Amino acid sequence: MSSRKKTILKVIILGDSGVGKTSLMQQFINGKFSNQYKATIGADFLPKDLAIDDKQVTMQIWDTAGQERFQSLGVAFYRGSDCCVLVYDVTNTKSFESISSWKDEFLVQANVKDPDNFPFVVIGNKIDVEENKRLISGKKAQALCAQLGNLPYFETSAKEAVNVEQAFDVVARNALQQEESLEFADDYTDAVNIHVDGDNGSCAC
Amino acid sequence: MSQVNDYVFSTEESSYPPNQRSLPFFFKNLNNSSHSQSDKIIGASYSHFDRPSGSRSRTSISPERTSIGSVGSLSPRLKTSKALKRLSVFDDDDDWDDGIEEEFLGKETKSLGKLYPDLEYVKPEFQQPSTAPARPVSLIRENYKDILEDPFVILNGLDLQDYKHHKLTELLNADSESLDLNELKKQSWKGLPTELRGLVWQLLLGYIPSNPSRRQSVLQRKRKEYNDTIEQIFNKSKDQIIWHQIIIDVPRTNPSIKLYSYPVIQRLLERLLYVWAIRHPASGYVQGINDLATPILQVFLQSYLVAQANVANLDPDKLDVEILNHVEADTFWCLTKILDTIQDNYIHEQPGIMRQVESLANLTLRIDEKLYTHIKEQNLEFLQFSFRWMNCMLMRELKMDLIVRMWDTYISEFPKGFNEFHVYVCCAFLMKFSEELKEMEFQEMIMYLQDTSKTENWDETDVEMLLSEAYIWQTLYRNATAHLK
Repeated sequence: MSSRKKTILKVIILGDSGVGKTSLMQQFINGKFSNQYKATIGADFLPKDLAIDDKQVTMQIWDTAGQERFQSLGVAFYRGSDCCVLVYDVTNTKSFESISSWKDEFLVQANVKDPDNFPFVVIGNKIDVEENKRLISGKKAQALCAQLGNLPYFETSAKEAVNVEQAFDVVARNALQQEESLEFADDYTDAVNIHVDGDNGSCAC
Repeated sequence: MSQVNDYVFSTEESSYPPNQRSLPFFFKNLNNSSHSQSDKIIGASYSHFDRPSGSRSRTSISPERTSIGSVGSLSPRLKTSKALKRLSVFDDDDDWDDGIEEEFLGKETKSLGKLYPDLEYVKPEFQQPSTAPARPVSLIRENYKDILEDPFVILNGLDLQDYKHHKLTELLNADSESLDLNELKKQSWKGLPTELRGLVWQLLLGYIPSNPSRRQSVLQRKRKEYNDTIEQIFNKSKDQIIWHQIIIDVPRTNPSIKLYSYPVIQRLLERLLYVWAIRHPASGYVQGINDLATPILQVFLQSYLVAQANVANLDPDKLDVEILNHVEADTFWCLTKILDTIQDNYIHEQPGIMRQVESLANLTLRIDEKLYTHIKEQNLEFLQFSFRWMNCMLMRELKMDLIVRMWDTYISEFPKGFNEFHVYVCCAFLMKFSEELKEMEFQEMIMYLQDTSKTENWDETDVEMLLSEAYIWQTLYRNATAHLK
């Protein structure tokens, strides 16, 4: 069915304003960091072609605006996502506390089929800061991720390109798994239909 | 031209009063320095709070400064406000009712130095040897003090290079009871000369009364009112959520324009955005409003500069603090006037924008059905690419000077320019790329639409074309309400 078409993985990045969502995406896609990003309005889009093991995929990333006022836009941007990245800033407690409400907000607006198994990845960004600026410890973050359903957790510096590749590798793999599980579900639905047809056929015999 | 301005603005003019707002410790070595390119993004460098590790100033610009009271930052303003206190303040402007709540009056004093935390960070950037000669030509208007009192003074001795704007000056000079505002709108629609833009915007937005006898008193009153409001609002403890959002957005505002890298401009924007947000609790501050303040700010600053000066490269620390104070107040009130017409854009669920996006889709269907169908077939939603067009008035898609030109027309269409007419402009903007878009698939389309480099080479002619097309479509479809469903 989708054999010739390249697999598209849709990924959405959420988190409070100023945590570094745009910087993470730019670091991942273009391998660079800039101080000149304007605040994101609505959502920005960037694609990246990559290979997961032997499979060629295109990752389509939506980098969203963090201000709460823009949440009514969610439906337009969240729908059809294969993975959701939740970002906080390790120097900003409030952004950490918002993680679970971003997760809930996503599940409500994206209308995912199986919320318990939808892939999320949590990222604590800005670990390049001095130790005394850091307000959220890795331990604390791990605990939250465990509590939210054993979500994978990464600590990154978009600025110094620390761990960004690794985090997005897991994002890509989990997104692919999600995409394939959906595809499988679709095939399964088709199969049922065929089976029903077959039943009808055998009854006629 | 920008080089000329860099050179002039970075050399101190002894005739200027020292900038009180910038405080004594600010840029002691600035007098004879010239700015290198690397100075360009001072402010923007703390976008997302990312700082070079080990930067000395890290502590002072961390989010914690949200807890600092800002009474100190008012002190330069208070001088002006005191001076204005004894002036007559009767309300003779019936349609301009922006009373200020008297509830914000508390006292709280904080250390002054802390209020300018960025300065110690900025300071080392300017310690370069001078290359400028001693006495450059001033780019500040000689009669700026008179213009501060009465903006019409700018007409005296105005040397407009061409006679293109002859009609406009005649109109403004007319010694009549009140101005012919309709004719003024017509002139503004076609684009205004740099020198007169600030004045005409203020007239058309209804900030300056057209009746000459009331002008000065109204201006004085509005400026005093703004000063008093600042005093009241900043004496109370801050709304931390709003303040935090503003202070992380201001350094990310127009990062490519040098003017916005100066702390004195960033503090000015923070104050006026915060005051606006507090006075408009239904919307509060929404990202994008910071963008909208800047064309006004630039245009009003330009009124005090000679025509050839490029405000984008202005060193605001060379300005008389009174200019900055008055420009801040004027910007606040005119921004308020504009935002009043698009308040629905920024309240909960942003219904104004949702409506505009829908109108854009319906207009596209009528004007260019093939494009509309193609967009739908590719599962591209109008909201995905045009939300930003509405939320930021195309400011993210076009260069500042083109936005300023566009606003001449928007303001002449006031109060419908920024909502109704803007949708037609967005439609014309989309149509510009119709042929290319029809050849593209989803991914390519969204990237192309988001790419701001496609308008990099645009000039005023392109924008004027856009405005003319928008005007035609507005004339055709304005009364055909079916497309608004």
